[in-house]
Amino acid sequence: MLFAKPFAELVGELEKLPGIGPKSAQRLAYYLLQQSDGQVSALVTSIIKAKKDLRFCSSCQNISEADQCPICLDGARDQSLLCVVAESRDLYAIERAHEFKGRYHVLHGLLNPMEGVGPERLRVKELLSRLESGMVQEVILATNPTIEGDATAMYLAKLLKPLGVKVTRLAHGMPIGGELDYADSATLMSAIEYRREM
Amino acid sequence: MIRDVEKPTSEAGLTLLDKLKLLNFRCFHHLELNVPEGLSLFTGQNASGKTTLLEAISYISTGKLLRSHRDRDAVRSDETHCEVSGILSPSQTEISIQIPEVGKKVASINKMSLPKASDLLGRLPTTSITAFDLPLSQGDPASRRMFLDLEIGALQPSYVHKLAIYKRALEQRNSLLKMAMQTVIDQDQFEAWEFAMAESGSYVRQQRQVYFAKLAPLASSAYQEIAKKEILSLFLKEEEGGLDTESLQQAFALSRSHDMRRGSTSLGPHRDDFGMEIDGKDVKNYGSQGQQRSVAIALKAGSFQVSRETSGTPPLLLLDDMLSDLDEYRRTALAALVINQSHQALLTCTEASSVSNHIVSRASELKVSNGEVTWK
Repeated sequence: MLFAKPFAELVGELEKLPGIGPKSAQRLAYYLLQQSDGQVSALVTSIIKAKKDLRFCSSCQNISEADQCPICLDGARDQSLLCVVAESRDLYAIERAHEFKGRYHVLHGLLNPMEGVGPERLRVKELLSRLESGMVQEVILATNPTIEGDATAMYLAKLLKPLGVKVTRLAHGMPIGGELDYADSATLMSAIEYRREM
Repeated sequence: MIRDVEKPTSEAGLTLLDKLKLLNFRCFHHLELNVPEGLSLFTGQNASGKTTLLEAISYISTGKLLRSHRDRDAVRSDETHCEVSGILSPSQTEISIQIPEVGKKVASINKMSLPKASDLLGRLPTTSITAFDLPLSQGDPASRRMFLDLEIGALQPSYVHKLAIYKRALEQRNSLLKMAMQTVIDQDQFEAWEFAMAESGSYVRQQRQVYFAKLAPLASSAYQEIAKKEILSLFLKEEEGGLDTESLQQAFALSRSHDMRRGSTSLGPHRDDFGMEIDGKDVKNYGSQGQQRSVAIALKAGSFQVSRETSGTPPLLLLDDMLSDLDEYRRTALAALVINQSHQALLTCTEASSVSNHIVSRASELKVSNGEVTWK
């Protein structure tokens, strides 16, 4: 049996969202239909408002309401330290630790030729122009320790080093409080490779 | 010294297959089999499912089917999903592979699913010697690479990880090469992927060298046992780009413009191979059928011994109908090489009479017909 056209259209739109397959899209569509008009329009308004009112911070490229985000505007943060992450969610993960006092730069992706993503699709040019002022002394490459994350870090290091900044990479090894017995062999291998003297 | 005295300790690392369960796997609907310790002999007509039993065990051991590259081929023709699971002894760990109705196969340990099927490698070490090994001596280099990769991976999980990195970075570089045919790509991008390839690739090549250095003499002497006078020599073919990260990275950089024209990477561990010669003649191109079969068996017998020497315990042995193709002399030689060395071995043949008496006399005999297994 075919769906009524408006329903099929709704399912079709929901299916385009990341992580939503045909079945989840149908479930969401049924759920939305059962909600009151008020609830549905609240959702619609919030989507439109977010889309209209949000932009990318002109310096760090993170999602922001104003031209510059609160982190970039915060004068107490260390301007000489710049942490490069792949996605906004990585930035929030580091912020949750309340330890890092520098600033960020969000790439919005990683190099991935198989999916047609090259440096021109990432915020690399913006990163380079931020370094022009000479304020930044160290760039921490905090992309994930995956093949694409490592390759992107490698690529950026190559671009950044000639500019005279210190370029560092997040360490990898055993998780704190973790047990050797449960660690996967790749993690153990790198923990041994990057061991430190005591 | 203590190890020699206390028997349980010396066999502590030994893993046996206690139970095998099949659901909709090839011709089997539903099967639960207590797998005997020691030697068991599965007899039955052609197409009764003997080889499938061995294939199922090999599947949960390696994550790969013996006779096909498509997992879905293993699903019984009138069914939509299938599952193979095995209970290991003494740990009572359950390892399994499921092929669901939709999507890829899922491997699990004690019902907990693993990220990749290859993560099962090494849990139940096996050596299979079947007719599907013939491509080792007759087929293209990919069959020989896969053989080495599976054997090394079973002994060393980090190898599987590094190989996966290499393959992924290679795919990325190949995509970049294809993009470069249409637009200008800055060279730093190539360098990033080539570094990943060089680092993982040099590890892969070094481990293959180490493994091959153990395998070659054992496989050669196995061949001599089976084929009497002839001498088999095995050697890794020249590895263009070398073994260390720097030289490999340099080789990738140098081949860049050449690779751009062909749209793929022309050198590296994904192109490596080993050569096989009998009395100076190339086995693949000039060997007789019999020689080629014996070389394939010798390679597998060699890998059985490497596994036994490296891990201290012999792998589970799966011998498919190979005995009936060999003459009495070769059969006895093969038995001495592998069967007598194993703690658990499964043999198949159409009739018990085709197997020499001293094997039958100490084997549990089971009969396979129409997807069922019965004790004799």
